[in-house]
Amino acid sequence: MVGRGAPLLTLLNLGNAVIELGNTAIQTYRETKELEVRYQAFRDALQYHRDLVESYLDDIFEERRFTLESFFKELHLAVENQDYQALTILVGGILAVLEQNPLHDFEKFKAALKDPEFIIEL
Amino acid sequence: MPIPLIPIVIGAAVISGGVTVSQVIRTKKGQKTYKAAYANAQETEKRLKSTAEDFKKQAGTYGYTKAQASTTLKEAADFLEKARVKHRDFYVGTPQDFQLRLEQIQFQAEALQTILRTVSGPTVAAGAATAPAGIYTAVGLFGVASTGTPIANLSGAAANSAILAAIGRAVGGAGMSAGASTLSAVSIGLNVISLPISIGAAVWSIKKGNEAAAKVAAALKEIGAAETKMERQGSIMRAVMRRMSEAERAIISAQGLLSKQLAQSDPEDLRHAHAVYELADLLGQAMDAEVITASQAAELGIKINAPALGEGS
Repeated sequence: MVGRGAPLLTLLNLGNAVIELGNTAIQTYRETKELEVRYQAFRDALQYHRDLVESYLDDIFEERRFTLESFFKELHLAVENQDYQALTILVGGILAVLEQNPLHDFEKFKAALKDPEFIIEL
Repeated sequence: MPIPLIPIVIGAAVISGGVTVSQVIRTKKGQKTYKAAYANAQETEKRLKSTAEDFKKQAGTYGYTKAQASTTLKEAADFLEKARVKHRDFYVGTPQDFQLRLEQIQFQAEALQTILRTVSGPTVAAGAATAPAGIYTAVGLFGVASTGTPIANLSGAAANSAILAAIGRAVGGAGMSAGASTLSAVSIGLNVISLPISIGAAVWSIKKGNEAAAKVAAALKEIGAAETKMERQGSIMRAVMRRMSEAERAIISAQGLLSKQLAQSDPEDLRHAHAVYELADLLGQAMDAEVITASQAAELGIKINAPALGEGS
């Protein structure tokens, strides 16, 4: 009985080994698929990050541009009208805007983006 | 008794073949992802190079504007000298507040060259033993039934019986049962031999598939890091360009106003001298405005020489 059963057992074991291999193959296949999905997620995150940064820069610099242009417009009038009191005030206002370098805030903004708890203040 | 083992043997061979095929597909998918990632990184590199060119042009224009403005500033200094107004030392030299060394920007594109270009994996190996089916098919095509009729001319159950009987006669037996037994024996024998081979092939294909997947994962990691750095450099350049543009506009406006004020000013009139002083100060500070931070300059490999506004200058 043992003599006839042994090959059967061996074959059954081999069969089980093959099934195990099949499971491993399915698992590794899933892992590769996951890699593809993770890479796509990385690309999406990169694009999202780029859009966010560009939007931030557009908003900040557009606002500053508007402020500076308004100041310079008034300063032109002050020079034209020789209004020296207004000239002093307006020069001070322009310098206050120029001194504040938005690139420092930009660095803080980019650092904050790495923080998952970060909430953009609108 | 070996007959019940046939389904196990066949099933095992089928699964082993499936494992190999799945690993080949897996590798192909990995290669596809890798190729797409590489193409994306090349696109990012192209974009970064284009941004760097714009950056270079913007920096050139900005430097030229400052050089032009320094002439007006010199005129203001001369005016104030005539007006004998005690004034701070204006910035009258040709400003070179930073030297651009764009060639030093380490484009990550070069790093891409070192990333694996090809990722190889397992190929479909000739797998399962098909000898019994081959014998059956060959006899079916070329054999002759006991009646003398070519088996190829028969069909259905008649053809099956004729094939089995022909195989039986060929091995010296009699009738269909001998043929069937022969086919079974050949089938079992070959499958028993082929089973370890197909398991080995499946194990080999998984090993190769794993190697290929590891290469793809490593390459994607490198590409991801390179792309992230390129993206960071690109965003810094775009931000700095905006700031340079802002400072440049301020310089041009301040220069225009100072020229206008100088044209209408009398050195003997203290109010005029004051206005010239204020506008010259504005122009000088606009020229000194910090357009790049130290960390951003370091990231881009740019050397900053002069102090900048807002940095305690």
